[in-house]
Amino acid sequence: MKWNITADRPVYLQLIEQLELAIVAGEYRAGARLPGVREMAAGAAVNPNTMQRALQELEARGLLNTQRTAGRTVTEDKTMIAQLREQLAAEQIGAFLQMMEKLGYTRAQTLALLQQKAQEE
Amino acid sequence: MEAVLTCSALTKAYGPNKALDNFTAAFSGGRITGLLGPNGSGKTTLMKLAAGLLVPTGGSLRVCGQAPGPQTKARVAYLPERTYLPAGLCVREALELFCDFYADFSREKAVSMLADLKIKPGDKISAMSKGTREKVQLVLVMSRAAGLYLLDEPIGGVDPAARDYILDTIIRNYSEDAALVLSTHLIGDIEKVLDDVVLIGGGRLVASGSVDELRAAQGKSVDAFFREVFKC
Amino acid sequence: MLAKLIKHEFKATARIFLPILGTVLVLTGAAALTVKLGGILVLPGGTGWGGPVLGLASGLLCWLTFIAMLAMMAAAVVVTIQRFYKNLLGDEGYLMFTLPVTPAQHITAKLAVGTVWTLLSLALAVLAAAALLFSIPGAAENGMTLARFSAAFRAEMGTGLWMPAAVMLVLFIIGTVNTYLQLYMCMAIGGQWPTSRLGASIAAYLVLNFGLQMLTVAGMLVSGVVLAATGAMDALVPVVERAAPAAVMCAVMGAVGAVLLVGCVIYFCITRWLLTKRLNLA
Repeated sequence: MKWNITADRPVYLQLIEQLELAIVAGEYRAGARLPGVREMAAGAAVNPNTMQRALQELEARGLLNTQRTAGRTVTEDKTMIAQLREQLAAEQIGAFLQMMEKLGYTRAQTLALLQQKAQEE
Repeated sequence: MEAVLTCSALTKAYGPNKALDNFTAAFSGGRITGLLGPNGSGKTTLMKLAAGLLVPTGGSLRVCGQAPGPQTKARVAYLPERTYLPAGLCVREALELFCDFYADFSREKAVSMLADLKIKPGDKISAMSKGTREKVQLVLVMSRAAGLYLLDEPIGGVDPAARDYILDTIIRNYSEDAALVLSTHLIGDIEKVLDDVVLIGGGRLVASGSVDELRAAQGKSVDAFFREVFKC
Repeated sequence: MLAKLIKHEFKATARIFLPILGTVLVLTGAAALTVKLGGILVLPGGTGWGGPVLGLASGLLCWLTFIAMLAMMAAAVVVTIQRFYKNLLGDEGYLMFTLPVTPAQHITAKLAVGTVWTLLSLALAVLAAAALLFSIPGAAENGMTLARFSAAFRAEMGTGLWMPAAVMLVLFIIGTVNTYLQLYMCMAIGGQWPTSRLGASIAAYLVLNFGLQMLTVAGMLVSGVVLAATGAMDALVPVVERAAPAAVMCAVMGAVGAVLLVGCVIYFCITRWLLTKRLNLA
């Protein structure tokens, strides 16, 4: 998994965001086992305590489960993942619309531009 | 987690010069602490005192509640900046030395890490490049399940790939309840690895606390705060 | 822990000594052989020494053996000094002094190993000398002469030759330990100036020896004066004359040994204090 942690925001928030993305994107599938805390921390080049905090938060949100012997696994609950996907998508769209407004485009212009670009790509 | 290393009004003077001046700080177990300061600020002196290589001239220093001596040395893993392995040794003999004297040394761990680095047991330490030698020393130190790790400038003067390897090794291998103290004057990327920071300048304590606290209080990264405090 | 230190110390020094020891043994063997052969193969018309070639060879080999023996004894001293200087006071000190071991154990380990190697080189020197002596033609007579000398010695001194030999050996050991501890202490003192360690160590050694010489002279003068003044000298002389020579010799050697031992203790304690409380690695 490719991590991109920057120094300007709290590390554990970034970890949570990027882990959620990884789960939604299918990098960690439903029911898949996650590597141990140390290994994940080493992979992200962050402090293990911080990684633990992020993982615990995701556990609290229900995205991850912990079994004593098996370690952490992604939830089997596909609906939850789907909901998260929608939530992330909504956030992206909201941010996009806000930016376009800032640039001076109206809603209609934004939609037209989006349509055009989507056909080109 | 209680403090593994405590310094109370610690002073180390060489004649009129004070390498450490009334320094008070605590380093807790289970946390990675960055000892940050410019060159000559007293970082190495502090580590040498904790490792039992120097004796304080004032104040006190305790490792797991005891003054430095053979008992604390059995629990402290110290990695100095220099090459300290005897010159004529080969890797196998260095492993044997650590096995013999440190009950907490894991030979298997060390061997597997060395294998990853493509270093063979028969390789002579004196024939290695400086970078490889430093990696061997790091592997030996991190293969110990110590209570206190003291790493003096482990990433200074090292290429970025080696730096990543070193940080990776440190994160993966330090003993869970141990206090790990890392000194450096290059904060940059390692800020993400630190739990706590202790800033030292001119032998005195400048600031200390968890990374989150400091960033919240100062409204900037530790790196930026450091540059501000130690502006030339 | 001390045993482990000694083990590692032996391993580190054996690297240097075993080849030297091997060379001495080989040279001694070769020299003894040529001498023996020379004695046996007396060619007619020659110098009676197995001919010029064999004579030259045995002469050369004996000379080489002698040099090798000297080299070995010198090596023992040099290596012992170097082990302390480099392994404890150099960069390797960062490893040594963070081992869970006391400075006293470090000193003891190095001292023990250095003394053993020195004794070994002495033993080898004696062996080599004996081997050469006994390969000379007429060795049988040499043996007999030795027996006669031993008997005469016993008659005169009241004890066998083994007695002075044993005493000399013990004194040699104490003397060696004393010398090494002296050197260790000077190096530890020199270590107080990390930037000019070598110069400071040599200076300390010179000062110490000068001081000891002064002390010895002063001691002799004082005891001479005291003995004469208190008339103790007059009381002692008849005692000494009546006592068995062996006993007198033991008393004198004992006194020398005792003084050396006191020196050993003082040097050890100072060195230990310096390495514990005043360690200052570069």
